[in-house]
Amino acid sequence: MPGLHAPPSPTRRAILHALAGLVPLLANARAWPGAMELRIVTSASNDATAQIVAALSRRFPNAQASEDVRAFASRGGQAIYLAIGPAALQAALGTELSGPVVSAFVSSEAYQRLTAAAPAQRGRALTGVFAEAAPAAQMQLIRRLYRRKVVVGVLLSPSTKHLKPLIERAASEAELTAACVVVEPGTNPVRALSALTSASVLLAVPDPELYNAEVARAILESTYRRRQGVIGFSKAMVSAGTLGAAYASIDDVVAQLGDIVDALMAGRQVDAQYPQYWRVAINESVARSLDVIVDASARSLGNFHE
Amino acid sequence: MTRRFDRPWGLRGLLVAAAAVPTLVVLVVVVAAHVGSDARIRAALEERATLVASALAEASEYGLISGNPAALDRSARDLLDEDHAIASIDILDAGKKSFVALTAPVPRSGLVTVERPVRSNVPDIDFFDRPTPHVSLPDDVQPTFRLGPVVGYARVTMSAEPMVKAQRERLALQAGVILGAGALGMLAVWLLAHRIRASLAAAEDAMRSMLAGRFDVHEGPAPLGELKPLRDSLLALSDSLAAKAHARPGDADIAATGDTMSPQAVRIAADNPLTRGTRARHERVARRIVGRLDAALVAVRLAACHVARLAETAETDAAKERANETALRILAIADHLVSAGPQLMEPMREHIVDERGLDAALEELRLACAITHPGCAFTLQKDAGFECADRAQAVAIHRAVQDAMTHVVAFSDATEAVVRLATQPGSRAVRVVISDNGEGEESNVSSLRLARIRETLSALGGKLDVRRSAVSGTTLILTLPASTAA
Repeated sequence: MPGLHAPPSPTRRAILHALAGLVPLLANARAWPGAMELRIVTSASNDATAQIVAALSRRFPNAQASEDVRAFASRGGQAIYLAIGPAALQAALGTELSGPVVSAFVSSEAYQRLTAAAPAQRGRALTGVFAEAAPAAQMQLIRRLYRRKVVVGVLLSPSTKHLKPLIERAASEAELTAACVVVEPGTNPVRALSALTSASVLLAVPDPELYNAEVARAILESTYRRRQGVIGFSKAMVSAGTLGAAYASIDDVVAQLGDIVDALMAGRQVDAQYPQYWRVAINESVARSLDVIVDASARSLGNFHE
Repeated sequence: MTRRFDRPWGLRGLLVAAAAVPTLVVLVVVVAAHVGSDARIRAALEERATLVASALAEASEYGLISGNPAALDRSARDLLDEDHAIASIDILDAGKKSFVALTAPVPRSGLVTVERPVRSNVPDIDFFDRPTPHVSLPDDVQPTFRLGPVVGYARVTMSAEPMVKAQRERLALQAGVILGAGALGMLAVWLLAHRIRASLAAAEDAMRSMLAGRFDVHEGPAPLGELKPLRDSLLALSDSLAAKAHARPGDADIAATGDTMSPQAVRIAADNPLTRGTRARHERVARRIVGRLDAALVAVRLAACHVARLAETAETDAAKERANETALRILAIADHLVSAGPQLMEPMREHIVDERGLDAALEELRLACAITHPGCAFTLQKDAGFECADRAQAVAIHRAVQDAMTHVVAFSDATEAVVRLATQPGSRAVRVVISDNGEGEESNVSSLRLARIRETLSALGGKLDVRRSAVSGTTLILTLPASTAA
């Protein structure tokens, strides 16, 4: 029967993984505190990785960094593995590791995709800080920029449609209205924008199926023709032409990683979460073009980690 | 037929041909420049098609990526309407399936097709879709853009037909303008040649008339600037020759010489400057001799008068008588000699004045002086209303003027001499002013000549006023009372 061979859904798989991970966590809970090393797993070195490792080294002077996760695994001993970036996370998930894996600088979409695709491993604890700011932070920025109740359009793909309740709740809390449209695979995301003509602003969430270099310019052009601002998820997007973005800097994420590592060492379980610390970037030129008045309160919005 | 072409070209033909040649050369050059333009048109068309296709490819990115053919259709249709050389526009997607296809309503020929890929222009930033860490770096700067994948193709087909048509129209216009300008130029040259020819023909006629002894030359049509001196010279020559032709031997000469120039001699003198100069010098010398002889006779006469006056004061009657008789004899001889010349001349003078009038006689005198003394410009002026009806007065004026002019010709270094005839408004008296710009030196000869003029005028109740100046020369003012004969 075909139904018996159908793969489990990502959500179901994630739940199974979480349940499987609980057993070793509970078993080893008392053994971690104070005796665990912090091992930083990186992928191929580049400028971003170097800056992140430097920031982590300042925060965790005894931490060890390596691109070779198998070498870390062969050392044995209890350790917390900080996986920096999607490639490092994927490598960590593909290796039998003796301690919890903390994902950092990986978007929520990539985190969900990679963890869902990873082979099941008994007793592995998995947590992390997503790379993009929380939808609540983005909604706060939108509210501060538009200063009235506007409709926030959101394009979601099957990979990110699970964010819809979170986004709608965040919009509601910020006294905004969210209009989410799920774009089916194979559908042109630029054309899908026509379903969001009532929205004053488009909130972009990390999703390579919807937002990538090939369509970014067309999306920006299309929204600009409709006088819609775009709120991105990175500072680079603001430079590329979005109205603004709430984002977490390296130091913001590292500070939060410190809290998570401390919690893990204390034997507490920590769920993957959005950045606690964040800040905003605004493209003043785009704001002027869209007649959006940016005041100091919008510019200084965020929860900085100095 | 051959003879017709062998004939030498006339002035009009030459000038018109000279005007036509540049026009024809320009026309040939312009036409030659258009010959073989098909290849150039095709090259220009390809360049233009490439440009349009490239611009269309650049503008089609958004439409192709967004899958919105409507916007592209409008842009392409605008292009098709604007540029009549475009035969068709096709925008294809990445799989070369037609996305937008437009064709010009009128079928075109001479087609050139150019296709350009439509490449997406993508920002080189991380959309959190890479395996590297997803992070906003502190030093994020303005992103660069790079060429992305081919998302479609823009294909433009253009026709050379409108360009060829436009080129032909341009050529026709240029040729028309050149030919029009050439025709206008040739017309202007033809008119100019006509006028030159008329002036030259008039000059030729005048010379032929003068050669035939007819000196009544007409002015003819107004000549062009450069030809005006020729006409004036011919008119002056004809006037001079006419004056000489009408003069009789011994009548039109200067009284002092008693000489005259026959029309043939005048013609020879006018034609030959050397002969004319030699003759003038001879006449000048002759006049001086005659003038001095005349002066000598007058001096002898004066001396005789003086002897007569001395005789009156002699102590003895016998001596007085002898001296007086001697003086009277000298005086009689001198008087006879002095009056002999004028007496001989006077009938001729009266004849000239009677027959031709004072004006013509004075003009003849002026011409004779001018020929005799070419270094001086002689001018005769007559005020409006001048009239001298009294024969005696006219003869006296002629004599006085002749005396004065003879003196100028023979002795003066003047370069200008003017005789002005006027009638005083109130009294109707005749007033003749003879002035020259010589040094105005007084001499025995001039004094004697003036005395004779004064004597002539006194006989008719007139008077002579003489003014001399080293700067402005000598001026003689002759005044005769209003004639009772008038």
